[in-house]
Amino acid sequence: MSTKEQRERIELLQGTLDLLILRTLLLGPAHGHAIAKAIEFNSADVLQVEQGSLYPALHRLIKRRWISVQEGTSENNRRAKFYRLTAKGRRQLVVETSKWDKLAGAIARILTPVEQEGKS
Amino acid sequence: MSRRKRMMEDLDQDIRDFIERETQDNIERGMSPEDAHYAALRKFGNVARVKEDTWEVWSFVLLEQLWQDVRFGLRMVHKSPGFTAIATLTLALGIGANTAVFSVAYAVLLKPLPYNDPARLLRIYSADIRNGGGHWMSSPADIDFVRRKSTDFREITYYQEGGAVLTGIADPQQALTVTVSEDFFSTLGIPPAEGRTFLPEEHTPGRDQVVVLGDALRRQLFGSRAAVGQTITLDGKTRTVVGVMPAGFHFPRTEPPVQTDIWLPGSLPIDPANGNRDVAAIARLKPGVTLRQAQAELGAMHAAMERVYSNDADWRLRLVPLQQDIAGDARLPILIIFGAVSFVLLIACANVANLMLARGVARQREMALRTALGAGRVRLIRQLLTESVLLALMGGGVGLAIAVWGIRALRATATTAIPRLAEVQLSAPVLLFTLVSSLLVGLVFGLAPALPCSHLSLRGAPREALVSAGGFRRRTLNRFLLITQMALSLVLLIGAGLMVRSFLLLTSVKLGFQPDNVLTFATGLSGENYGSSVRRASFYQQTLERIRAVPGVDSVALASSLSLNGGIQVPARLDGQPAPPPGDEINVAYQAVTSDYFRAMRIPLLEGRFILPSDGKGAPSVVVVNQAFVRKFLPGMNPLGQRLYGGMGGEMRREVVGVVGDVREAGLAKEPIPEIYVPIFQAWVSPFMAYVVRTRVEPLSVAPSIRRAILEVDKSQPIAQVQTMEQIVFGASAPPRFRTELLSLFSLLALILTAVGLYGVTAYLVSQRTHEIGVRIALGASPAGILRLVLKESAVQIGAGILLGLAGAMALARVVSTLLFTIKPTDPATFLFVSSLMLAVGLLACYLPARRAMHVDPMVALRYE
Repeated sequence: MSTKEQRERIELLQGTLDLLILRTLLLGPAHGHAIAKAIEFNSADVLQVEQGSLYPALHRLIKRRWISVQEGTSENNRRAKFYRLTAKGRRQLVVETSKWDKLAGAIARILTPVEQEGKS
Repeated sequence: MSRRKRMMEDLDQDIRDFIERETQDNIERGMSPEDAHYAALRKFGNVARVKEDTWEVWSFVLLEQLWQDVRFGLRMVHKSPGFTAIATLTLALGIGANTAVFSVAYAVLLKPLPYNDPARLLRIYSADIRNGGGHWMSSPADIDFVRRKSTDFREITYYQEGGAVLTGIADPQQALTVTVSEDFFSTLGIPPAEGRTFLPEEHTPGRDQVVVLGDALRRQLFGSRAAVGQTITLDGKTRTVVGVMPAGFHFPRTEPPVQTDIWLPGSLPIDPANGNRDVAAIARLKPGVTLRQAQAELGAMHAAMERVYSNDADWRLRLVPLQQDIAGDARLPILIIFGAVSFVLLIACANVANLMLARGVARQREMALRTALGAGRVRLIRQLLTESVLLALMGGGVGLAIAVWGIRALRATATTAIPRLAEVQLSAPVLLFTLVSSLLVGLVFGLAPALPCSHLSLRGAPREALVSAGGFRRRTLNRFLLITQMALSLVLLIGAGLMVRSFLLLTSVKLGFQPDNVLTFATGLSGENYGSSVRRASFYQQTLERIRAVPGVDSVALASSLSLNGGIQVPARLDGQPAPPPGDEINVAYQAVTSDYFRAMRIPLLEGRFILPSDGKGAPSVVVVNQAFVRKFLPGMNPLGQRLYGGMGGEMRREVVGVVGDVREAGLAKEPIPEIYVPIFQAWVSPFMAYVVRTRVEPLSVAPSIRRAILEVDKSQPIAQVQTMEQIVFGASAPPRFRTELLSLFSLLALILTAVGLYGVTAYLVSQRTHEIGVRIALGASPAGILRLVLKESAVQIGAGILLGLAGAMALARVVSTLLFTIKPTDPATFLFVSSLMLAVGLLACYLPARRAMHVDPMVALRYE
């Protein structure tokens, strides 16, 4: 199946999948399979996208009008659904990214001293 | 919904696509096609779950659950038609009655008047603060002063109502007129539909031969022809129609069938010495000015007004919002009746809540099962509430039908009891009221049973024995509801009892005359032909003779006013006593009558003689007085031969020739005051006289012949207000009859609902205790003992309900006190009677199921185990 061991994979935090989908679509429209692949590939397979959550997440984003969906023809001439970032989604990505940066920074600040203590 | 469907179809396609791609990837990694497909499926996971989760993204969870609850509720409704029918009918009665009464309350108290910006319209009254401060009409001088000096009113105007004879048409008719001062129409803010209203210069004598007509009269007179520029003949004078008001505008007489349709420009003389208070005044506040400010300004102006005019220092101007003024005396009864129907609705709610509680027991297992399957408490309560709201809405629907019928009945019976009756209808605000009250009702009676129902565990529920033992909270709630119901209906019954007793007292007062077989009507003699007393007297004498000759007529007479209609009062004093200073005169009731008046009215002669035809002009001036007069002015003396001053048209010394019985002139509830009867031709002969005709046949049947007899004397003289004396008596008691009937109806409804509730709950409790009672009987309890056991518990509740109700009635006594005639709102007889009635009905309602408990077969009861 996958190349990485099961225990090294990280379950995505609630809401981060939305951010990753938006980030992926920034590069251009893609179909569902490609989005999952891209997230896994770009995270060096650390982040495993569960299909169970990918589609509800995609539909949630459509409902919020951050992405749109359209019929398209893929590289091997097959009909497929393409998801595309909307202008609203683009703005939202900026917001979500800065939120994430803050969150990550805060968590890092909390965790760092403990690590230092352990090292010394 | 269709969007969701489309999105779900997309999803199917997308999932297939995903799996195909993954399979493809796997094949590229070197798997066999079959393995690749299964690996892809495994990686994707639970397709159904993904679909479900995505479906949820597109659904409105709350709404969906609500829809589920509604469908489930409808199924429950369908499953127990008996319960549904009883609950719906109970609620329908409550909601229907409330809707009908609200339609009246809305039309009379809340609905804006049909004038421009009606909230700023005021009525101005004059109040005599030394004599009780009652509201009277105003003097034109006062109003004119305020008009010139005040800064708080945008417009201020006055008017005087009157009557005129409309001739020059096929059938001469008596018409209501109103003579208005400047700005009348602009104060109300309604422009004419055709032509114009009066110009300022038309309010001067000589230029005032113009008229504005109402829409109905305009149609009657001119049909589809243009009305403006036409002429009409009023009281023999020709007037030019300058404008027509839109349909529906009838100020100040807005109640059909008595409606104003003729407006005349007034050039009322403003005479500083004229203290007459004979005009009605209305005003419009400037924007931003409150009634309080305007009232304060009038107060500050008062001192100045006294210096300018020879006015009585004790009179003040008072402002009343026009809407409140029109609602008038109907306001309090309407509020009381609205309170009464609210009580009925609460009682209906309590009944249904009790039913739901009883049913809650039957559904305990269902609820416990739902809890075990993971339904949260809130979710359960929501489901139960949805069911109760559903029931309430059904009740509201049926209630609406009851309300439609009720409104029709109200409009038919209210007649003169409430103003703006024509506006009472099922309007949008009334429908909104029905909807909101239905929803509220559903929440109120649903919440009570829903709360205990949701406190269940599966462990207890399947064991039936626990049901009766564990119902403690439920039974406490049952009792609380029953006691409340009884208290509420007792309050209503006492209110109704007081009204009924008061009404019976009112209608059994001694009128002082016999109203049966008496026809009355009025004439207004105006215009050139009747300018003098002599001319009028001649008309009266000729018509009396002709009417006397009409077959079926027993006797006929004239009177200056009809009994019960208010009457006229004049100052009077005995000969030899000094004239009191102005303001300190003793007023007596005054009637100018012809000789047959006492015979026609059947007023008894006590001493001396009646007025005779010979008591005419030139003969010695005589007067007949009533008993109250003798008591007040001539105690212990022989009244015959005494002389007194009194009457209209100058001071005249009259000799008392007779004493007659007291008559209620001012209304049913007003005690007779001293009264003098003077021969009509020895007094000022008024152009406005009432005819009183005693008949030997059905009084109304002679009306056409009498009309002809009058027209024979003067072919342009109409008669008006043709009615029997019995109709007048009936009309005098119309407002109290209306409220008494309504309150009785609603309190009876409350009593029936309460009795049904009491019966139902007792029967239910007895059935719950069948097992226990069976054991008791098996152990040797006597049937009487069982009866006592059941009744004792009920009697305690009934007693508590009655005590609470009595306390409530005492607390609310003040509210009805002004509506009662001669009895106190804490009338002990009423309280005692109504409490006994309640006790009897309550015990009977409990006795029937209790008797069944007596006959419980112990074997059957025990076999339940």
